[in-house]
Amino acid sequence: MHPIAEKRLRKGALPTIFCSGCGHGTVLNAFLRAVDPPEIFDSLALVGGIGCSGWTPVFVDTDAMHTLHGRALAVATGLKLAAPDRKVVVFTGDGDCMSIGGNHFMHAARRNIDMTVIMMNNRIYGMTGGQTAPTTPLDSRTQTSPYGNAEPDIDACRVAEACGATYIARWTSAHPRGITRAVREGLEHPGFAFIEVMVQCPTQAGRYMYGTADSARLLKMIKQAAVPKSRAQGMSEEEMAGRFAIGLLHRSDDRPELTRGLAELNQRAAGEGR
Amino acid sequence: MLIHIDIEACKGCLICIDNCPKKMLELSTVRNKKGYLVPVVTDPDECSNCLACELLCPDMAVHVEEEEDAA
Repeated sequence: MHPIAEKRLRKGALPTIFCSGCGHGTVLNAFLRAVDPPEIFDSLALVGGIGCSGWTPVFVDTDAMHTLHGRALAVATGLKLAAPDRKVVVFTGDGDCMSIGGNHFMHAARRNIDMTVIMMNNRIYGMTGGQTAPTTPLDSRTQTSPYGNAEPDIDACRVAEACGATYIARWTSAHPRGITRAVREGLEHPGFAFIEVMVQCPTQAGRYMYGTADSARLLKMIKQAAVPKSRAQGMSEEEMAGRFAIGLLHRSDDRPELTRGLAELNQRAAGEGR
Repeated sequence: MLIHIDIEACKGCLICIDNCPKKMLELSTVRNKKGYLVPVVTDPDECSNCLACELLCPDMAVHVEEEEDAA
Protein backbone atom coordinates (compact mmCIF):
# COMPACT_ATOMS: atom_id res chain seq x y z
CA MET A 1 0.00 0.00 0.00
CA HIS A 2 0.96 3.64 -0.16
CA PRO A 3 3.53 4.52 2.57
CA ILE A 4 1.05 6.86 4.28
CA ALA A 5 -1.47 4.01 4.42
CA GLU A 6 1.17 1.63 5.79
CA LYS A 7 1.95 4.15 8.50
CA ARG A 8 -1.50 5.48 9.40
CA LEU A 9 -4.01 2.66 8.87
CA ARG A 10 -5.05 0.17 11.56
CA LYS A 11 -3.78 -3.03 9.92
CA GLY A 12 -5.94 -5.40 11.95
CA ALA A 13 -9.09 -3.71 10.66
CA LEU A 14 -8.18 -4.09 6.99
CA PRO A 15 -9.44 -4.65 4.34
CA THR A 16 -11.91 -1.81 4.64
CA ILE A 17 -15.62 -2.65 4.50
CA PHE A 18 -15.90 -0.25 1.57
CA CYS A 19 -17.07 -1.87 -1.65
CA SER A 20 -14.86 -1.88 -4.73
CA GLY A 21 -14.83 1.66 -6.07
CA CYS A 22 -16.54 3.26 -3.05
CA GLY A 23 -16.03 6.99 -2.72
CA HIS A 24 -15.48 6.66 1.03
CA GLY A 25 -12.12 5.04 0.29
CA THR A 26 -11.00 8.08 -1.68
CA VAL A 27 -12.08 10.34 1.19
CA LEU A 28 -10.02 8.25 3.62
CA ASN A 29 -7.07 8.53 1.22
CA ALA A 30 -7.39 12.32 1.03
CA PHE A 31 -7.95 12.62 4.80
CA LEU A 32 -4.77 10.72 5.66
CA ARG A 33 -2.72 13.05 3.47
CA ALA A 34 -4.14 16.04 5.34
CA VAL A 35 -3.42 14.64 8.81
CA ASP A 36 -0.17 12.74 8.23
CA PRO A 37 2.16 15.38 9.80
CA PRO A 38 2.81 14.25 13.41
CA GLU A 39 1.83 17.61 14.91
CA ILE A 40 -1.68 16.98 13.54
CA PHE A 41 -1.92 13.18 13.71
CA ASP A 42 -0.77 12.87 17.30
CA SER A 43 -3.61 15.05 18.61
CA LEU A 44 -6.42 13.53 16.55
CA ALA A 45 -9.54 12.05 18.11
CA LEU A 46 -11.93 10.57 15.56
CA VAL A 47 -15.63 9.85 15.96
CA GLY A 48 -17.85 7.88 13.61
CA GLY A 49 -21.57 7.20 13.53
CA ILE A 50 -23.29 4.25 11.93
CA GLY A 51 -23.21 3.51 8.25
CA CYS A 52 -20.38 2.94 5.85
CA SER A 53 -19.06 6.43 6.64
CA GLY A 54 -18.91 5.69 10.35
CA TRP A 55 -16.38 2.95 9.78
CA THR A 56 -13.78 5.41 8.52
CA PRO A 57 -12.31 6.25 11.97
CA VAL A 58 -11.90 2.53 12.74
CA PHE A 59 -9.47 2.18 9.85
CA VAL A 60 -7.19 4.98 11.10
CA ASP A 61 -4.55 3.99 13.65
CA THR A 62 -5.45 6.60 16.25
CA ASP A 63 -7.96 7.17 19.08
CA ALA A 64 -11.40 6.58 17.59
CA MET A 65 -14.96 6.17 18.82
CA HIS A 66 -17.53 4.21 16.83
CA THR A 67 -20.82 5.48 18.19
CA LEU A 68 -24.60 5.11 17.83
CA HIS A 69 -26.54 5.96 14.70
CA GLY A 70 -26.95 9.71 14.40
CA ARG A 71 -25.19 10.45 17.67
CA ALA A 72 -21.62 11.00 16.50
CA LEU A 73 -21.92 14.77 16.99
CA ALA A 74 -23.34 14.40 20.50
CA VAL A 75 -20.50 12.08 21.52
CA ALA A 76 -17.95 14.28 19.76
CA THR A 77 -19.24 17.29 21.72
CA GLY A 78 -18.61 15.44 24.97
CA LEU A 79 -15.20 14.31 23.73
CA LYS A 80 -14.13 17.83 22.74
CA LEU A 81 -15.26 19.36 26.02
CA ALA A 82 -13.47 16.67 28.01
CA ALA A 83 -10.30 16.88 25.93
CA PRO A 84 -10.25 20.36 24.36
CA ASP A 85 -6.67 20.03 23.10
CA ARG A 86 -7.66 17.19 20.78
CA LYS A 87 -8.36 17.81 17.12
CA VAL A 88 -11.79 16.19 16.88
CA VAL A 89 -12.86 14.92 13.46
CA VAL A 90 -16.30 13.39 12.92
CA PHE A 91 -17.00 11.05 10.02
CA THR A 92 -20.67 10.82 9.19
CA GLY A 93 -22.96 10.09 6.27
CA ASP A 94 -26.01 11.72 4.76
CA GLY A 95 -28.30 9.34 6.67
CA ASP A 96 -26.38 9.49 9.95
CA CYS A 97 -26.09 13.30 9.85
CA MET A 98 -29.22 14.59 8.11
CA SER A 99 -31.75 11.93 8.99
CA ILE A 100 -31.49 10.39 12.44
CA GLY A 101 -28.71 12.79 13.44
CA GLY A 102 -30.34 15.93 12.09
CA ASN A 103 -31.06 17.43 15.48
CA HIS A 104 -27.54 16.95 16.81
CA PHE A 105 -26.23 18.45 13.60
CA MET A 106 -28.36 21.60 14.05
CA HIS A 107 -27.08 22.17 17.56
CA ALA A 108 -23.45 21.27 17.01
CA ALA A 109 -23.42 23.86 14.21
CA ARG A 110 -25.39 26.36 16.30
CA ARG A 111 -22.89 26.02 19.15
CA ASN A 112 -20.03 26.47 16.67
CA ILE A 113 -18.06 23.85 18.58
CA ASP A 114 -14.47 23.49 17.38
CA MET A 115 -14.47 20.29 15.38
CA THR A 116 -14.25 19.15 11.77
CA VAL A 117 -17.18 17.17 10.40
CA ILE A 118 -16.80 15.22 7.17
CA MET A 119 -20.18 14.12 5.84
CA MET A 120 -19.91 11.65 2.99
CA ASN A 121 -23.05 12.03 0.92
CA ASN A 122 -23.94 9.14 -1.36
CA ARG A 123 -27.59 10.20 -1.45
CA ILE A 124 -28.82 6.91 -0.03
CA TYR A 125 -28.76 4.62 3.01
CA GLY A 126 -25.91 2.43 1.79
CA MET A 127 -25.05 0.03 4.60
CA THR A 128 -28.64 -1.06 5.13
CA GLY A 129 -29.22 -1.99 1.50
CA GLY A 130 -30.20 1.12 -0.46
CA GLN A 131 -33.16 2.89 1.12
CA THR A 132 -34.23 6.49 0.48
CA ALA A 133 -32.35 9.12 2.43
CA PRO A 134 -33.25 12.81 2.98
CA THR A 135 -30.62 13.53 0.35
CA THR A 136 -32.11 11.21 -2.29
CA PRO A 137 -33.32 13.33 -5.23
CA LEU A 138 -37.00 13.52 -6.17
CA ASP A 139 -38.22 10.68 -8.44
CA SER A 140 -35.20 8.47 -7.69
CA ARG A 141 -35.70 4.74 -7.54
CA THR A 142 -34.40 3.04 -4.39
CA GLN A 143 -35.25 -0.03 -2.34
CA THR A 144 -37.97 1.96 -0.55
CA SER A 145 -39.10 3.96 -3.59
CA PRO A 146 -39.63 1.42 -6.38
CA TYR A 147 -42.12 3.78 -8.09
CA GLY A 148 -39.95 6.85 -7.53
CA ASN A 149 -39.13 9.04 -4.51
CA ALA A 150 -41.92 11.49 -3.69
CA GLU A 151 -39.76 13.64 -1.40
CA PRO A 152 -37.53 16.57 -2.41
CA ASP A 153 -34.01 16.39 -1.03
CA ILE A 154 -32.22 18.59 1.50
CA ASP A 155 -29.04 20.65 1.06
CA ALA A 156 -26.83 19.91 4.07
CA CYS A 157 -24.52 22.88 3.43
CA ARG A 158 -27.45 25.32 3.49
CA VAL A 159 -28.71 23.79 6.72
CA ALA A 160 -25.21 24.07 8.18
CA GLU A 161 -25.04 27.76 7.28
CA ALA A 162 -28.52 28.48 8.64
CA CYS A 163 -27.62 26.84 11.94
CA GLY A 164 -24.38 28.73 12.39
CA ALA A 165 -21.51 26.62 11.00
CA THR A 166 -18.53 28.92 10.43
CA TYR A 167 -16.61 26.88 7.84
CA ILE A 168 -18.54 25.11 5.07
CA ALA A 169 -17.08 23.39 2.03
CA ARG A 170 -18.31 20.84 -0.46
CA TRP A 171 -16.12 18.58 -2.56
CA THR A 172 -16.49 15.18 -4.21
CA SER A 173 -14.55 11.94 -4.39
CA ALA A 174 -13.40 13.17 -7.81
CA HIS A 175 -11.63 16.10 -6.10
CA PRO A 176 -9.18 14.48 -3.65
CA ARG A 177 -6.92 17.56 -3.49
CA GLY A 178 -9.96 19.68 -2.59
CA ILE A 179 -10.84 17.28 0.21
CA THR A 180 -7.28 17.35 1.61
CA ARG A 181 -7.21 21.14 1.55
CA ALA A 182 -10.64 21.42 3.19
CA VAL A 183 -9.65 19.00 5.96
CA ARG A 184 -6.50 21.05 6.69
CA GLU A 185 -8.46 24.30 6.67
CA GLY A 186 -11.22 22.78 8.81
CA LEU A 187 -8.69 21.57 11.38
CA GLU A 188 -7.10 25.03 11.55
CA HIS A 189 -10.49 26.75 11.69
CA PRO A 190 -11.40 27.55 15.33
CA GLY A 191 -15.05 26.60 15.10
CA PHE A 192 -17.51 24.18 13.52
CA ALA A 193 -16.11 23.11 10.15
CA PHE A 194 -18.51 21.20 7.92
CA ILE A 195 -17.17 19.43 4.84
CA GLU A 196 -19.69 17.68 2.61
CA VAL A 197 -18.17 15.21 0.15
CA MET A 198 -20.37 13.82 -2.61
CA VAL A 199 -19.35 10.17 -3.06
CA GLN A 200 -20.30 7.34 -5.38
CA CYS A 201 -22.02 4.25 -3.98
CA PRO A 202 -21.67 1.64 -6.71
CA THR A 203 -23.57 -1.09 -4.88
CA GLN A 204 -26.73 0.74 -3.79
CA ALA A 205 -27.21 4.23 -5.28
CA GLY A 206 -25.30 3.19 -8.39
CA ARG A 207 -27.44 0.18 -9.20
CA TYR A 208 -30.85 1.48 -8.05
CA MET A 209 -30.66 5.19 -8.87
CA TYR A 210 -28.20 5.42 -11.75
CA GLY A 211 -28.50 2.00 -13.34
CA THR A 212 -24.85 1.04 -13.04
CA ALA A 213 -22.36 -0.37 -10.55
CA ASP A 214 -19.44 0.91 -12.64
CA SER A 215 -17.70 3.10 -10.07
CA ALA A 216 -15.49 4.83 -12.66
CA ARG A 217 -18.63 5.88 -14.56
CA LEU A 218 -20.39 7.00 -11.39
CA LEU A 219 -17.35 9.05 -10.45
CA LYS A 220 -17.49 10.77 -13.85
CA MET A 221 -21.17 11.56 -13.30
CA ILE A 222 -20.41 13.14 -9.94
CA LYS A 223 -17.57 15.18 -11.42
CA GLN A 224 -19.84 16.45 -14.19
CA ALA A 225 -22.52 17.46 -11.69
CA ALA A 226 -20.00 19.52 -9.70
CA VAL A 227 -19.75 23.24 -10.49
CA PRO A 228 -17.04 25.47 -8.94
CA LYS A 229 -18.64 27.99 -6.60
CA SER A 230 -17.59 31.02 -8.64
CA ARG A 231 -19.34 29.65 -11.72
CA ALA A 232 -22.37 28.36 -9.81
CA GLN A 233 -23.07 31.84 -8.49
CA GLY A 234 -23.73 33.05 -12.02
CA MET A 235 -25.99 30.16 -12.98
CA SER A 236 -29.77 30.07 -12.85
CA GLU A 237 -31.79 27.57 -10.85
CA GLU A 238 -32.64 25.67 -14.04
CA GLU A 239 -28.98 25.47 -15.03
CA MET A 240 -28.10 24.19 -11.56
CA ALA A 241 -30.81 21.50 -11.57
CA GLY A 242 -29.24 18.17 -10.62
CA ARG A 243 -25.90 19.91 -10.04
CA PHE A 244 -24.17 21.34 -6.97
CA ALA A 245 -21.55 23.96 -6.13
CA ILE A 246 -18.14 22.83 -4.88
CA GLY A 247 -15.34 24.63 -3.09
CA LEU A 248 -15.27 26.76 0.03
CA LEU A 249 -18.89 27.87 0.41
CA HIS A 250 -18.79 29.84 3.65
CA ARG A 251 -16.28 30.97 6.23
CA SER A 252 -16.69 33.41 9.12
CA ASP A 253 -15.08 34.06 12.47
CA ASP A 254 -17.63 36.20 14.26
CA ARG A 255 -19.47 33.51 16.22
CA PRO A 256 -18.67 32.42 19.78
CA GLU A 257 -17.14 28.94 19.98
CA LEU A 258 -18.50 26.52 22.58
CA THR A 259 -15.29 25.16 24.17
CA ARG A 260 -13.95 28.66 24.82
CA GLY A 261 -17.33 29.99 25.87
CA LEU A 262 -17.83 27.25 28.46
CA ALA A 263 -14.29 27.65 29.81
CA GLU A 264 -14.92 31.39 30.26
CA LEU A 265 -18.30 30.66 31.84
CA ASN A 266 -16.69 28.27 34.33
CA GLN A 267 -14.09 30.89 35.27
CA ARG A 268 -16.74 33.55 35.74
CA ALA A 269 -18.92 31.28 37.86
CA ALA A 270 -15.94 30.18 39.98
CA GLY A 271 -14.80 33.77 40.43
CA GLU A 272 -18.20 35.09 41.44
CA GLY A 273 -18.79 32.25 43.91
CA ARG A 274 -22.33 31.10 44.80
CA MET B 1 8.29 7.36 -12.88
CA LEU B 2 7.75 4.17 -10.91
CA ILE B 3 4.13 3.23 -10.37
CA HIS B 4 3.76 0.65 -7.61
CA ILE B 5 0.43 -1.17 -7.48
CA ASP B 6 -0.27 -3.26 -4.40
CA ILE B 7 -2.05 -6.11 -6.13
CA GLU B 8 -3.53 -7.65 -2.97
CA ALA B 9 -4.89 -4.31 -1.68
CA CYS B 10 -6.59 -3.57 -5.02
CA LYS B 11 -10.35 -4.14 -5.29
CA GLY B 12 -10.39 -3.88 -9.07
CA CYS B 13 -12.59 -0.77 -9.30
CA LEU B 14 -10.83 0.51 -12.46
CA ILE B 15 -10.93 4.16 -11.30
CA CYS B 16 -7.16 4.55 -11.79
CA ILE B 17 -7.33 3.11 -15.30
CA ASP B 18 -10.25 5.37 -16.23
CA ASN B 19 -8.60 8.54 -14.93
CA CYS B 20 -5.04 8.22 -16.23
CA PRO B 21 -4.62 11.12 -18.68
CA LYS B 22 -1.81 9.29 -20.46
CA LYS B 23 -3.87 6.10 -20.75
CA MET B 24 -0.94 4.03 -19.51
CA LEU B 25 -2.84 1.85 -17.05
CA GLU B 26 -4.74 -1.13 -18.35
CA LEU B 27 -6.75 -3.97 -16.94
CA SER B 28 -4.57 -7.05 -16.76
CA THR B 29 -5.57 -10.71 -16.82
CA VAL B 30 -4.02 -11.18 -13.38
CA ARG B 31 -6.45 -11.92 -10.53
CA ASN B 32 -5.43 -11.23 -6.95
CA LYS B 33 -6.30 -13.54 -4.02
CA LYS B 34 -9.73 -11.93 -3.68
CA GLY B 35 -10.48 -12.56 -7.33
CA TYR B 36 -10.22 -8.99 -8.59
CA LEU B 37 -8.64 -8.27 -11.97
CA VAL B 38 -5.90 -5.75 -11.20
CA PRO B 39 -4.40 -2.91 -13.27
CA VAL B 40 -1.01 -3.08 -14.95
CA VAL B 41 1.29 -0.26 -16.03
CA THR B 42 1.85 -0.35 -19.80
CA ASP B 43 4.31 2.51 -20.28
CA PRO B 44 5.88 3.95 -17.09
CA ASP B 45 7.98 6.46 -19.09
CA GLU B 46 4.76 8.14 -20.25
CA CYS B 47 3.74 8.94 -16.67
CA SER B 48 3.43 12.69 -16.08
CA ASN B 49 3.30 12.37 -12.26
CA CYS B 50 -0.20 13.83 -12.14
CA LEU B 51 -0.98 11.44 -9.25
CA ALA B 52 -4.63 10.94 -10.31
CA CYS B 53 -4.28 7.17 -9.83
CA GLU B 54 -2.64 7.53 -6.43
CA LEU B 55 -5.00 10.18 -5.05
CA LEU B 56 -8.22 8.61 -6.30
CA CYS B 57 -7.52 5.00 -5.30
CA PRO B 58 -10.12 4.04 -2.65
CA ASP B 59 -7.74 1.44 -1.26
CA MET B 60 -4.46 3.43 -1.38
CA ALA B 61 -3.02 0.62 -3.46
CA VAL B 62 -1.16 2.93 -5.86
CA HIS B 63 2.09 4.76 -5.11
CA VAL B 64 3.88 6.88 -7.70
CA GLU B 65 7.48 7.86 -7.13
CA GLU B 66 10.39 9.34 -9.03
CA GLU B 67 12.98 6.75 -10.00
CA GLU B 68 15.65 8.74 -8.15
CA ASP B 69 13.63 8.54 -4.90
CA ALA B 70 13.20 4.79 -5.02
CA ALA B 71 15.09 3.05 -2.22
